[in-house]
Amino acid sequence: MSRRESPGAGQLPLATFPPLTPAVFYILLVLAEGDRHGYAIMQEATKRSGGALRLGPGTLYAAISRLLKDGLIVELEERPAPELDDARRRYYRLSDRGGQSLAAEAKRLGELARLARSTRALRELKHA
Amino acid sequence: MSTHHADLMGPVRIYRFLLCLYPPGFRLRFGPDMLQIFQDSYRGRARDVHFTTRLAFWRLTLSDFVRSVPGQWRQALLRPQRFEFPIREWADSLVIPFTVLGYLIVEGNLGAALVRAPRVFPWAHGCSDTWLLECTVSTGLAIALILAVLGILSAVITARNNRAEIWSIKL
Repeated sequence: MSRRESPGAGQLPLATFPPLTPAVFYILLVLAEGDRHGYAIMQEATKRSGGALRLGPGTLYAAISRLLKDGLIVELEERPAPELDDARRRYYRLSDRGGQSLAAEAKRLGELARLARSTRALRELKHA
Repeated sequence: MSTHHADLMGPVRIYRFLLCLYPPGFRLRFGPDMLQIFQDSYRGRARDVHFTTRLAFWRLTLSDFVRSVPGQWRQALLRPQRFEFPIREWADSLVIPFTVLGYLIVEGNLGAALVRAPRVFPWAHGCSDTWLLECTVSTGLAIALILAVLGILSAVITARNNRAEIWSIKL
């Protein structure tokens, strides 16, 4: 499928990736596994978060709008075949920049988790 | 029309109304998708006849709406988007709030000017305070009337645009 380049692509500096909100993180995580349309992203994000994250259409498309502007995802021009899916659905794909941002966020969260695990007070609380 | 489809008509109509409250640029681009997602989500919940399930669904929908609308308006105002029709840009944006604000500024300045009138205009020396107050109020009412007509006109154009967009989405 061909991509529709978003006008804001390339606006973020490559060296720094700001922390992502949980909603954005899950959206990027879902798209890392393949192209999805909005409803599939919503369902998959809820499933992956164990029901903790429940995205509504407004929050979902606000995040998608922001991600398109920042160039972290791209909208695919081609639509699915009518016999496979609703042809009106728009599909989104993770861009290279989006992949880098997701990796940077995963690393940041990993470091935070490692730091928390190494904190003595937290270990004591866990055993209490 | 099937019963299942008929069950969806009311909720979809409510959601179409909610969609009208998003800024035009966002609504034009994502409105159809949002409506479709709402319909898909509701269809999933509609199988559950429990009132609490439906209540939870609407609570989620409304909280999602309340969370996302202000942010989109903020973005729309910070980065205004271009529309195809210039008249739409005027009518479907913030004409009404600006009209009210403009009226308050005009009325405030007019009131202040008239209160100071005896000192500024020689002809106002003989006028009573009551006359000056009546003059202020009547001028203010005339301005308010004109601005109200403009506000109603913009609201009508906005409503027609919204109906054309949101109500024409085929599901």
